[in-house]
Amino acid sequence: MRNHLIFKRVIHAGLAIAVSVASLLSPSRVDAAEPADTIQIAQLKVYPPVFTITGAREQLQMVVTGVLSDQSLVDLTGKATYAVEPADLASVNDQGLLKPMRDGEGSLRVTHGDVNTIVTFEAENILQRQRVSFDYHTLPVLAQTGCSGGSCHGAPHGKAGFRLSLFGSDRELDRVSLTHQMAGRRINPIEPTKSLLLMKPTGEVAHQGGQRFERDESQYELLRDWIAEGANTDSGGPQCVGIKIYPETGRLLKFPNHTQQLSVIASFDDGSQRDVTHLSKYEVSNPLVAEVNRSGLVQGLDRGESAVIVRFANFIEAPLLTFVRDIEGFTWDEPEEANYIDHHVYAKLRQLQFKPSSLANESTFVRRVFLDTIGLLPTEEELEQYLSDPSPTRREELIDQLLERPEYAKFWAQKWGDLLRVSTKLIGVPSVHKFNRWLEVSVASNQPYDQFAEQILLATGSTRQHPQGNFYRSAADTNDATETAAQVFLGTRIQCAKCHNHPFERWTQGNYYGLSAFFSRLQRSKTNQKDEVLLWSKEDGEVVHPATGQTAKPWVPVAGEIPTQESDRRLAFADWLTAEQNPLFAKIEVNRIWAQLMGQGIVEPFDDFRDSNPPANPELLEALAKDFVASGYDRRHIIRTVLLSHTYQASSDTNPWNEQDRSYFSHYRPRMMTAEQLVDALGYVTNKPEAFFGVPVSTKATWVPAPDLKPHDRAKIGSVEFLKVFGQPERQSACECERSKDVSLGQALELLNGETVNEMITAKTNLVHQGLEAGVDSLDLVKRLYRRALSRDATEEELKVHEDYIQSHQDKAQALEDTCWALLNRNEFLFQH
Amino acid sequence: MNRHSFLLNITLILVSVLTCNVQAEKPNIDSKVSFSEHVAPILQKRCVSCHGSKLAESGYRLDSYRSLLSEMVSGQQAVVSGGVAESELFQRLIHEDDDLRMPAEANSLPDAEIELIKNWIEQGAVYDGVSPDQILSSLMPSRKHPSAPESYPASLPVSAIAIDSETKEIFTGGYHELIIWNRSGQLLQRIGNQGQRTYSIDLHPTNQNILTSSGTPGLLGEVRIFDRQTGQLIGNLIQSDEVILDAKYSPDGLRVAVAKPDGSIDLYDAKTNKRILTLLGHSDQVTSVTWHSDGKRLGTTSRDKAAKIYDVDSGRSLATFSGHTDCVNALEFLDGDEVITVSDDGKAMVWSAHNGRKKRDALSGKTPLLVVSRTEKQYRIGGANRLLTYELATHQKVAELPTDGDWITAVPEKEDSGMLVFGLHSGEVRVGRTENGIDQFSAQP
Repeated sequence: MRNHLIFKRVIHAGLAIAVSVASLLSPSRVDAAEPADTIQIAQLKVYPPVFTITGAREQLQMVVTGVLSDQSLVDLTGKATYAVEPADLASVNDQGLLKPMRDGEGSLRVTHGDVNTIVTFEAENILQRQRVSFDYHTLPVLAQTGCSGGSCHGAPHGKAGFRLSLFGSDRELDRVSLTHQMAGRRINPIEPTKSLLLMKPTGEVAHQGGQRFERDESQYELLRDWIAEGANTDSGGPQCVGIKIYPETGRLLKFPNHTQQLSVIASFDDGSQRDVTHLSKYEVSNPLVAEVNRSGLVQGLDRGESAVIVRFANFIEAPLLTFVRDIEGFTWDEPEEANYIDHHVYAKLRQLQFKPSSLANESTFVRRVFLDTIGLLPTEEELEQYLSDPSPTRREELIDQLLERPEYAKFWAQKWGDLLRVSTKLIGVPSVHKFNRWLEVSVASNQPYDQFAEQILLATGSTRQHPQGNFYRSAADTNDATETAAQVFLGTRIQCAKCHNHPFERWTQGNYYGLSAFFSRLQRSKTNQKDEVLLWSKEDGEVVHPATGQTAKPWVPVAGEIPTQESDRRLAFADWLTAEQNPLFAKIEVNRIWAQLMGQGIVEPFDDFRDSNPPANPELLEALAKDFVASGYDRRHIIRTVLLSHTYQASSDTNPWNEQDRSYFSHYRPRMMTAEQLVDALGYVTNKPEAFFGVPVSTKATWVPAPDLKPHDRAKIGSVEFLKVFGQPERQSACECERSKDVSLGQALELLNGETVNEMITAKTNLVHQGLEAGVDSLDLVKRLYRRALSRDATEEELKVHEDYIQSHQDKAQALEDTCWALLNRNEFLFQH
Repeated sequence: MNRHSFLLNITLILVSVLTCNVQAEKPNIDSKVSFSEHVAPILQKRCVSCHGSKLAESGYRLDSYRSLLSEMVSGQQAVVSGGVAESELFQRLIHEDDDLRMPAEANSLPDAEIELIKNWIEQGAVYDGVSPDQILSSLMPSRKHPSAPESYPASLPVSAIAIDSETKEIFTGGYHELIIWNRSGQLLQRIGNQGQRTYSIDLHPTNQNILTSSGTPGLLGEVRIFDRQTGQLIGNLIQSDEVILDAKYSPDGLRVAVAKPDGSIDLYDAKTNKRILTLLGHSDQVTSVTWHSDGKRLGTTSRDKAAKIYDVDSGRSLATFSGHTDCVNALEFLDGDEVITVSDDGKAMVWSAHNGRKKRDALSGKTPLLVVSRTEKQYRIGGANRLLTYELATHQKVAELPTDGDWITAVPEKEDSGMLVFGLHSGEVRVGRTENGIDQFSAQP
């Protein structure tokens, strides 16, 4: 017990320090706006305006919204007063929850200050017995109280021998677990309140999962009555067809009026509606910005945006809420907008009261844009050329030059190689080179992105003639092809839905198999040529949903089931994918480009698009996608547009009004160079470039076509590989997450005394030793190292430090090696900033 | 400059331990608190699920008096005789911080329970059981169970069944009782003072004793022996903290094997009710025990997905059958050194008892298989929707009895060659001479 305690104390202490430091640095928050009690409300709106409550177990959550004179909205649900007429018809609590007491029609008068409004409602069948529904009471309660969550009994193997399906997605599994398994131990039909299903979550029997609800809560009542009524699991009766959330997505809440009561109304196939606010499960996408309780009351914690993921039965909605706060001393200085990107970014920043950083200086810009476009540091000559260019439009000109360079195509082809899993393990050495070359040509020729996707997805015939067909060798079966296509082109991690409905998203298991039906008929035939596969389509063959046993019909997001050609179903998929109306296709790619340039997607992780992971700036994403489509899917145009924006060119230095921003692009986010960039950079600074196996001598790390070109060498197993340590992906997964962005101790050790760095620094043929041999002055060499490593001149102060150090050593070469080593371990070198 | 070494600067954060000020009250000498009677039940109910044999959070267990008093990983004492302020266990019960107060993620204990623990510590934290190593549940007094309801408001699954081959009387487990029926479903006798659910009923081969395993899910397990004539409780072999799923007499009636929830199997002398041996090897709850007709070997099944055979004299494990992917529910010895097991994974597997290797899947389906039993010439497998009968000699299926999704939850340990009988989840009992002439009755008073 005590070690537990100490651990928690330490964490608390750490947090306390972090918080106090933050509060010293940031401007104090003053809630300048008035709380709702004193503001002038022009009008009250009550939702739902009319409603019929049917059944003894039903209730109705009202949501009261005040409209201010400037048309802005505040939630007054918990602050208004309620009066039912006639008074014996229903009760209403302080939080606007209405419970009928008898049948009849009535009205509810809602008052706040001197404004009031009246809504009407009807109650029927209130005094008749209403059986608890397994699907719409029991399972939602278990989901809502956390029982069937992924870390508890909803885990793949359950917890403590008791397994439920994740959030009640598999009613048959849950039926068996609850009523039958282990000799029916969880339910006591004779004395329902002694059921384990009630005694564990109320703490009457010790429960590892803690106490989940109290005996006087409605959750308890529903489970108890369900058991008392015979633990009925019939699926008859009206079926739920959807849920509607109020308020709709996009509601803006301003501190100190930062609460919002939600209303969730479920519709059934008989046309009836039920309020399920108190049966729904709530989560927030951004726990730093908001929290939500079990009754659907959202509370803002900080400025920013968060989706609230609302789940009832198998339906999910994720309305977005924006929280804003007046920050003391904040002024908007109308920063200049270079293009539409800045327009949208600044609009968001202004709304949330973050002030953008000023533009980065020239040398920072040069270094940054070189690394982002061609993956390499600018050479001393390139730097000099740029800095001495008097043109007022030299940034724009530099960007245009870089995007025409062959290194640009090689660098960006490697990014695609990661996603499409170009590796010798999966497709063999010759195919690696061919596929990589195909990608490089695609980038160099600026092939329109829709054509790029079509050529890959529709690859047919020999993979020797059509190297992009190797996509279907890396993705070697129907499931793999489905998952990879979904991840790369739909930005969707659909793998989860293979075995169960997606935990955070509306993707169902049926959708997974519907999508895979497009790829199920593709055949991969071997030929007598090694490394060659013939791709062709069968005219029959179906995918069977493993749970239902039914044939899955080809299905795509948004459009649903679509007709397909018998000859090759992939055609229908590709047509749908690249159609202008498809809202996903363009967004996925512009977001990916954005993430590669800015270090963070507008949607992040950038290949995980879902309602419950909303974009940081939807308008920006929309505008980029629109521009992308209008340009004919011109990837270079989008890259150029981003690079030209002041948002991209902003300094990574923060100001007091944006240092808390992590999501909205108010300043450039410094990030460590990738493994390949780092190796090339080290090679350039020391003038000892690394050589790679299986490629021409001068090939850069950022051009290597696959991470596993080298031969399998048993003797080398276990030896540290610099690129791997710094996160180079093995290309075994189409997920961008395979490239590790974690900072590790291994990296620190590699940089401090690893073989790679040590050899570069000590080589007699490197910049320092060659220079000394040629009689170059030590300090001149230091100056050159600075320009090569940091793209800037060393300051007087820095030079002084190095001079003193070198002076104090007999062995000038050793002293210079040390200087070089120190420089290469500076964050200013390791990071792109 | 030495660049090949660097300093790791570790900042140690010293944590000052809060000392709690608890007013020491004078112990109430009038009300002596008993560990067995008062404290053990509280600890058993509130604490053992996280600090017991299955799970020991923070490395701390308190499922016996000895472990309760042992030093904790942190170096503190959970219980210091006479000193509530130094007793970490007590301090954690009343801690103001929700994150630190026990039980974790739950409300604090009722004041009365906290008071009892406090008084017990202040009175010296004395032990009043037999051995400090006894697990708490075994300390608690043999209990008198509540009476069974006169008539059942709802159907209870038939979780245990037995048949007397002479009288053809059928025994079923009820709610806090055993019930005896004749073969047409007429209620003959009710035997009370039994645990909430009965999981096995076994009739002694020669005398009038009824051996039962029973319990209250999540709270209690017992093995109780009743006199058939008088209905009186005549023995209580064991108490545990979880239901006991099976207890069986050896063929000669001299020994009793008990399937325990902690993964072990206890062997008792049926005459003295004394424990002879404990068999170890399973890592999770034992679901069934089955004696070989030679009385020397015992087959066991477990939630750990394995089945085993033990030599009951030496306690040695003779074979382990690993291959099921879910809880194994039952085992039966077939002829010719073969063993069959059935599992929640939907499979019935046949194994060589000799070398433990799997020979074949006798049955493979999607729904759980729950029971297996044999007669001289046949064996039966029962599951979630049917009862299948096979010829022992040929392994040919000779009959299939559908149950329409009603799970077969109980078959008798000693099948009667002239009578087929089994219990169902719905609370019904089916009984007949052959598979073709089955009657059914609701085994609910």
